[in-house]
Amino acid sequence: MALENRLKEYRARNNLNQSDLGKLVGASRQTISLIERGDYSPSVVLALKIAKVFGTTVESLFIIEEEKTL
Amino acid sequence: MKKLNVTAKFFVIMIISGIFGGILGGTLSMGEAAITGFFIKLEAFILNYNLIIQSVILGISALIIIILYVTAKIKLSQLKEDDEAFFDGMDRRLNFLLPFISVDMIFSFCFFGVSIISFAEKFSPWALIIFLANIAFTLIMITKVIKLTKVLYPEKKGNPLDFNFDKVWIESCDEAEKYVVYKASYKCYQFMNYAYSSAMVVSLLISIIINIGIYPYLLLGFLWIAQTLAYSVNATKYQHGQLENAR
Repeated sequence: MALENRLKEYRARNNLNQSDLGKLVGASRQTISLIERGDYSPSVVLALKIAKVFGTTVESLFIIEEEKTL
Repeated sequence: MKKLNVTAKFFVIMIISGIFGGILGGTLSMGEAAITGFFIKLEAFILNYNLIIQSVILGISALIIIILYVTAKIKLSQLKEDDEAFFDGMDRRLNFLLPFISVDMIFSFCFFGVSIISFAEKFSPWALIIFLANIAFTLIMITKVIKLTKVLYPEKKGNPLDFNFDKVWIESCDEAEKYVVYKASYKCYQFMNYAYSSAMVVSLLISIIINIGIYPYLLLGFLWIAQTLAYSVNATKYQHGQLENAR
């Protein structure tokens, strides 16, 4: 049940680098990098903050791999 | 069934370890003269050449630290906000440099401890000078590396010379960084449990052939109990609502 994400795609679409996104959501660049690589699952609060920055929902940003196959 | 297997496995390992320890202890006692001679010669060598050994090791370490620091600083002056690989590379450099400086500081204390052993007979003021100089050097370098880290990550807070540094630093870390600290700390806790038990076994084996006194056991026991209790007390505290991650 790995957590996949579309963070990089959304970041590129909004022309934001990892540091910029980190500043907007109150997280460090390392954290954004870890999330993008799938090495860290963000907390609900952080996931909501990221979704808010991109004007989208948490579900469209983060996908549980198991769900994809359904 | 699985539980029985785990229990059986535990007892088998304990019995094998006991037999192995007995054989090792017996073998050591047979080669008592050679092993005792080796340890006595090693101790005499370290005590005789302590100043030279520490000058060489601490000198080489200082040189490596300065080279790594200067190269990291030069690299940081080419900081590119959009280059994610650059940030990852700098992270790796700084993540190596800080523990290296801490190890250098620990070496300082060890060497000074060795110098103090012969305090009454032939204590050299150079031992004190080298110790103080290296402690000052490591403190300056830790401060400088933390400053470099702050250039890379301006959100980080804390001055390493402040006694509250650890608290301030961790408060300036975000959730993933705290998660990394938690994972690393737990690995360290597990490793130290093995390290204390191994050190106890090694002390027991050495005691068979050479008198090392009671203090290794007292010190190891004290540290082992302190770690176990510190972990338990804090785990209980956090289980009762002091996690503070809901703020």
